[in-house]
Amino acid sequence: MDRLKELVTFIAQSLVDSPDKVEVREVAGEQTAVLELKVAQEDLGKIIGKQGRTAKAIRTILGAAAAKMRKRAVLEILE
Amino acid sequence: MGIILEKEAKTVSEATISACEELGVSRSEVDVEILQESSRGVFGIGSRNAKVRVTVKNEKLSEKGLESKKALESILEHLVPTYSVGIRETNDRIRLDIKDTNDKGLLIGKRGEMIKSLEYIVGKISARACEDGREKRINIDIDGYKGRREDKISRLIKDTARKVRKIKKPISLDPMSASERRMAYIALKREGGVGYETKEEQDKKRIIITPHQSRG
Repeated sequence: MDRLKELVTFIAQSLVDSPDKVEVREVAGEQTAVLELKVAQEDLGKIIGKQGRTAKAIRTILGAAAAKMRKRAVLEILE
Repeated sequence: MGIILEKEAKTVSEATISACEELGVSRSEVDVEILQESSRGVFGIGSRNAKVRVTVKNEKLSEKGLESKKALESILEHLVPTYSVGIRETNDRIRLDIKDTNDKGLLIGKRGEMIKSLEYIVGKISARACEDGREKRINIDIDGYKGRREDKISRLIKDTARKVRKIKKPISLDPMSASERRMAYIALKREGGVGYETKEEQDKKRIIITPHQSRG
């Protein structure tokens, strides 16, 4: 499951101004993994995007990565 | 002129492959000129290696082009076991084509949802990373999927328009994205005896083909 965490970390770090403040925590369930993403307060908008477009795109990519591993994954963006 | 490299190997294709590997580009990014065909000779006497001259096409990529390719590759690395990314740049577009993968379906996604997401994220990342080439739009395609999608849509429009003319009743199509609707409108212009309406429901839009010229 580390691949999912790395994937989210890479995307988030590439989008924000403070990549060192990006934290991804994984709460693994049996079928579903929950990835909790935390970024600097000022970067929150960059991760979510206009009308949540960026967040939606990240979720789609994460979903595909999980599907490849026959898993499900949920992305939670923490405020 | 681009970067040029000459290589020698047993066969033309081996020489080409090794040149591409050395340059770190894919086969589609180079022009190959055969300087010498290989020859087996007679009983191994007089055998010759093949010699090729490889020229990298379009070697002048913008910073955004390079960044976008890098970003896409980093994402793909986490997604699929094998892939390669070809790149072509025009004045206003950067086209990235994903090839050599067995996971086309996964990378295209439902109704191309995944391609769109990759395009969006790669666009965001590369726009942040650089000044040069900012105005260029990122286009991602997977083994020519989008081209085929266009054919499919124009066929759908043609068939549906024929049906509408026959039954003289409107038929509504499945919701389509803006880019798909653009292809559909172009196809509709070619059809006589039918008109169309566009209906919006929530954030989805669908085209309804009507029997008479109601609009357009």
